[in-house]
Amino acid sequence: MQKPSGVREFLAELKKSDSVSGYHYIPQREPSLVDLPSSLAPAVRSALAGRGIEKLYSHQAQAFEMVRNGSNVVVVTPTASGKTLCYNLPVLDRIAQKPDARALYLYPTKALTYDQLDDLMGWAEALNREIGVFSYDGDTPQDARAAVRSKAHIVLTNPDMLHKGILPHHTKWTRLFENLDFIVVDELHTYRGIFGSHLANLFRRLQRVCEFYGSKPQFICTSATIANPQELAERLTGHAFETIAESGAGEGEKHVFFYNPPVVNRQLGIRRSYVHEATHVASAFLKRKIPAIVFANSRLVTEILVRYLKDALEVGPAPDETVVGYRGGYLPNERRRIERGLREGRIRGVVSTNALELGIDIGSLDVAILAGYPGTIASTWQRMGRAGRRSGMSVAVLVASSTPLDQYIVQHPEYFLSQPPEQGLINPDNIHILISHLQCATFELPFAVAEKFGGHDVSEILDYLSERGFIHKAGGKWHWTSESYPADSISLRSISSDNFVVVETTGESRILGETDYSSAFATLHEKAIYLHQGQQYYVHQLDIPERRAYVRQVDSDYYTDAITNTKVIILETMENTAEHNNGEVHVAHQVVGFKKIKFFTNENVGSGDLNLPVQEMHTTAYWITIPHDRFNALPFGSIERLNGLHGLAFVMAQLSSVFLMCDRRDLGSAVDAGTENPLFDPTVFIYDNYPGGIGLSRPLYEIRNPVIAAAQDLIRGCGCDEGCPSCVGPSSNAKEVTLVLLDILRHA
Amino acid sequence: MPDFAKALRQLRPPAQPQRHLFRPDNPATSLSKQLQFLKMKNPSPRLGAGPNEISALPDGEEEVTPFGRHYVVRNVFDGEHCHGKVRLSRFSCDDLRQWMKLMREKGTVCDRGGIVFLDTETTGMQGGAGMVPFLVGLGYFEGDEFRMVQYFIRDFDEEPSMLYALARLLAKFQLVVTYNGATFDIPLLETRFTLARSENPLEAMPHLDLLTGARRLWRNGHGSCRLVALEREIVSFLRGPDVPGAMIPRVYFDFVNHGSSPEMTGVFTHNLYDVVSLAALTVCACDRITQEAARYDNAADLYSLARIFESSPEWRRSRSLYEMALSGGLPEALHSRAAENLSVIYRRAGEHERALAICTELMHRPSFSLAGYEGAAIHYERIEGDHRRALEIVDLGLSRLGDDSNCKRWWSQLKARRERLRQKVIQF
Repeated sequence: MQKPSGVREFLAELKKSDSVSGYHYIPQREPSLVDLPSSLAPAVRSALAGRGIEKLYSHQAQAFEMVRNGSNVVVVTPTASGKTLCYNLPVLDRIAQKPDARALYLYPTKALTYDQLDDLMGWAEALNREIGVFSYDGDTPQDARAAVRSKAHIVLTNPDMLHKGILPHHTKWTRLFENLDFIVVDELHTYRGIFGSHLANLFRRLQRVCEFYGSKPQFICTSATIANPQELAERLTGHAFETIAESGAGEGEKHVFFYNPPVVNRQLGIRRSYVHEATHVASAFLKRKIPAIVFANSRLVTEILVRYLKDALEVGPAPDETVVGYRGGYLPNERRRIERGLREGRIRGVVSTNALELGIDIGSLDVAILAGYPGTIASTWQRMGRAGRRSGMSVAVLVASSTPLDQYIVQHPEYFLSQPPEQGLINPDNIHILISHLQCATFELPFAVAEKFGGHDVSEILDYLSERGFIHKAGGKWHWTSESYPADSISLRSISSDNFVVVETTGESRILGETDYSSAFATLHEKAIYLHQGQQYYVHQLDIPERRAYVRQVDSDYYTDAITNTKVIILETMENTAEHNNGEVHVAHQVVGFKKIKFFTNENVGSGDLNLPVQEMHTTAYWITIPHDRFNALPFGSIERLNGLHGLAFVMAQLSSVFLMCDRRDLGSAVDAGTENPLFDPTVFIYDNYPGGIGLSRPLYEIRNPVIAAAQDLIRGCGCDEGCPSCVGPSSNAKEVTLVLLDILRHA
Repeated sequence: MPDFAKALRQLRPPAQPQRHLFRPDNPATSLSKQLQFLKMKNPSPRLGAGPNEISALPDGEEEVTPFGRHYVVRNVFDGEHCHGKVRLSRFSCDDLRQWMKLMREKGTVCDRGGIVFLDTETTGMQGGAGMVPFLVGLGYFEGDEFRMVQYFIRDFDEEPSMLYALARLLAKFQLVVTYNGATFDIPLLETRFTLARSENPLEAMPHLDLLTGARRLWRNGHGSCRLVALEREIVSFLRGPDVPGAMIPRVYFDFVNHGSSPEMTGVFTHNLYDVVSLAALTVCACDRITQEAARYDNAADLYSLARIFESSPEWRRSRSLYEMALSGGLPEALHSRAAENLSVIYRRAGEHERALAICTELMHRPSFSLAGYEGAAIHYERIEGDHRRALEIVDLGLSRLGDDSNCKRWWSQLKARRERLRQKVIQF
C-alpha cells in the first residue's frame, strides 16, 4: 500500500527512541473466504450480490450454519472483521423465508443503534420485501410507537428501553413476542459488572415473557476479545453457547509501540505529562498527512488534546477540520457529521473518548494513539483495532500515564501481549439486583408459586416481598400489589435506586446529574469540589434526607479528596489457603474529612472535618492475613510496617482491577493492622465494592498469584527511590516494606 | 525483548478451554444467605393487623363461570330517577347521533339499549401489565330503566372469571362510552384480555370517549374537565363523602391482604357515581347542541359552543352564539378571538358592514389583531374596490408591529398582502 513519504523512516526513528519501552510487530494475514451457504434464500443471495459480496469470511459462514442448526452463538472476532453480518445474515435469511419471524437487537448505546439501523435498512431495501426495521428507544416519538410495535420485523433497542419500555408493556408487543426467533446482543463484553448482572436478570424476565407467548428465541451475540466470551454469554442468558473465535477476515501488518514519557524527576518518580507526549506523537503522524485517531480516557483530556493538536498543527496550512473531538456530550448530528468526515477522509485526526471504541463505522485510520492505558487489555485491543485496514500497514502507540496501571503495562509489554484479555465477570444472583428484577417480573406476569427464576427457587424472597406488601398470593400465583411501576425506580447501571441528585444553583436551578448513594458522600460532601464535564462546582449543601446536593460553578485551583475510614469485619470465610482467604464481609464506610489538593503540583493546601453517616454493606472480599509473629519480626519500625500494609493494599487493589477487567472503583481496599492486639494477624482486604457483590472476590482469590507477582514486578520496576503514587501509592517510603510483605506472600 | 512469537499465538483468544471461575454452588453467592443479611438490615415492617370491623361488600352475589367465580353488584334506577338535575331516562339516541356527527366521532348509534357506559377502578395509574382493573362498572338502559352492573374480583385469581362475564355482557352492545377511556380504560382492558389469552370484545366495538367533546364544550368556561368537576358544575350532582381516586389502589390492597377494608363499599359507590354521572353528562352534552342556547348562559361556554358549530355545516348557528358570548362579557383573550371569528362569519354570511364594524373595533383594541387589519383590508379591496384604502390599513397594521416571534409571523403575512395591494394600486 502506498504511504505518504517518511512513515517507515519515522517508525524506524520511533523504534530507536529511549521512550519506547516495547515494540511488537504483527504480520499481515490473508483472508479466508468461503462460498455462500447453499441454503441461503435467493432474495438474500441477490442482495449480497448487489453489494458485490460473492464469498463470505469463514467466521460469517460458520455463524450462519451454527444458527441454522439451532445453536446459540457468540462471535468473537476483531474490530472491522464483518461481525454484524454474522447476525444479519441468518436473521434476514429467516425473515425472507418466514415473513412472520421477528428479531430483537440489543445495543449498549443509542449511537450504536443508529449506526446499525442505517446499515440494516439498506439490507431490508435490497431484499425488496416489506421488512420493517425500526429503532425503539426514548427518542422514538410517541405517535410512531404503535407503528413500530405492529410493523417491525427487527426492533433495535437498548437494555434500558427493554427494561422500562418494552417488557412492562409486553401485551402491546404480542406480534413480536409470539414470533420472536432471535435475540441479538451486540458488544456482549460491555455487559459485565453491575450492568451485566442486571442484564442477566433482564434476560430472565425476557425469556419468561417469551415463554408466555410461546416463543423460544435463539441468541446470537458478538463480543470484543475477552477471555471468557462463552462463559459470559452463558451466564447472561442461562443457555449453552457455541463460540466462533477464528476470524476469517484478513488483517494488514501492524506495528505496536509502548511509549513511556521520559522521567524528569527520578527521586519523586515524576515523568513528563503523557498528554503532551501523546500530542507530540500524534502530531508527528498528522504532519506527515497520516490519518490518526487519539483515544483519551476522559472528556476533559479529549478536549485538551484537541486544543494541543490544533496548536501543534497550526504551522501548516491545515484547515479547521483536520482535527476534531468526538465524545459522549456531542449532539447526534454533530457526531454523524464527524463519522462521515472520517469515512470520507475529510477529517484526518480525531480525538475520542471510548465513544468510538465500539463498532461505529468510521472507516479505518492508519494510526491509533492511546493517551493513557484504557484500563483493560480488551479495551486496549479494541482501540488499537481502530487503526488498521484489511490490508496495508497500521500503527498503534500506547502512551503511558504515571498511574501504577499504566506504568506496569508499559514496563511489561510482554505481560500485556501474552495475557489473554480480561474476563467479563457478573453476578446475576446479587440479591439486591435479583430482588429488583423479581419485582419487575411479577409486575409483568404473575409469578407461579413453584416457578423458578434463573433456575433458583425464590420462594423465600417472594415471602420477603410479600411481608413488605409488594406482592400478594392468590390462586397459586404471586401478584403485584403496589401502585408503583417497579422498573421506573431500577437503574441498570447501579445496585440500588438510591441516588443523589446534583442541583446547580449558579443561575437558574438545574439538575446536573445523579450520583449513587454509595459514592455520594465521598464526592458530594459539603465544601467538596465536584467535577462535571471538566467544569468545577463547589458543593455548598448536601441534603441527605432529600438526597440532593446543591452546587455552584467555581474556578478553583484545587480539587478535594475525601478521607474515609473503612472498617471491615469478616463474617464468614469460604475458602482459605495459607495467607489467602475469600468469603463474606461486613464493610462500614465513613467519610470523616477531606483534603484540598492543588492541581498540577498535587500539594496539600488544606483540609476539613466532616460528620457524615456510616454506610454499611454486606459483600464479598478477598483478604490477605500476615502472621503476626512474622509481621512483628520485620526489621522496620511500627509506622513503617503500617505504611507497608497500606502500600500492599494500594498496589493489590490497582492490579486486581487490571486482572479482573473491572473498573478501579468496583473494588475497595482496607487495612486492619490490629495495633492494640499484638496477637492479631494484620489483614489487607480487597473487597467487592457493591452491596451483595458483583462476583469479583472469588475470581480474585483464584488469580491472586499472578496479581502478587505483577505487584512485585511493578514496584521493582518503578524508577522512584522510596515509593510513589505510581507504585505503592501515597503512603510515604513504603516501597521496601511492601516488597518484603509481598515476598512473604510469594514464598509462604 | 520478550518472546513475541509466543505472545502472538496468545493474541487471539483461545476458544477452549475457558476458565470457569464460577462454581454453580459457590457458597458466597447463596441467595438465602444474602437474604438473611437483608432481613437483618431491614426488619419486616409487620403490616398492621387487619381492621377489626368486618365491613361487608355491598349487597351482591357470587357469579360462577367456566373460569371460576367473581362478585357482582347490581342496581336499577327507574325512569323517574334524577341524577343531579338530569333525569336519566331523558337520554336520547337521536341527540347522541347528532352529537357524534358534529364531533366527527366514528361509530353509529342504533338504539338506546345498544349503548353501554363503562368505568374501571384499578390497582394503580402507572400503566403496564401489572395494573389490574379490580372493579368494572357498566351502565345501560333497559326500557326507561338505567341498570348498573359492577363486576368485582375479591382476589386476583378471580380476574379470568370476571373478564369472561364482562366479555359476555359487552357482546350485547354496539357502542361503549367512557370518560378518558381512549387513553386509560380501553387499552387497559385490551391488555387484560391479552394476558388472559382471550379475544378482546372491545376491539371491534365503536368507542366514544366523552372527555374529548367535554373539553371542547366546557374547558373555556370551567377549566378542569375532570368528571367530578363537571358532574358538580354541569350535572349539579353533589357526591358527598367520597374515596379520593388516589386512595383507591391502597383500599383494594388492604382488602385483598385482610379480606376486608372499611373503605371498600365507598369504592363501589365511587365507581357507581362515575358511571351514572357519565351517562348524565352525556345527556347534558347533547342538550348543549340540541337545545337553543340562552343569553344568560356562561359566556365562555357560549363561545366554546360557537367554536364547535363554526367548523360544521351548521356554521350559521355560531353567529348568534358569538353575539351572545360577546355581550355576556368574555375575558380579554377570548373576547378578541370571538370578535375575530364573528367578523369572518359575518363576511361568510354576506353581512359586510357588520364584519367591517367588528374589524374596525379590533383595530382599535390595545392588543394587536391580525384578523382585524386583514378583515378590514379585505373589505376595502374586495367589497369596495378601494385598493388605496386597503393598502393604508395594511401599512397601519405593519406600523404597529414589534419584532418578537409572533410579530414576525404577522409581519410576513401583512407584508405579502401589502406587496399584492401595491401591484394593484399601480395597475389601476
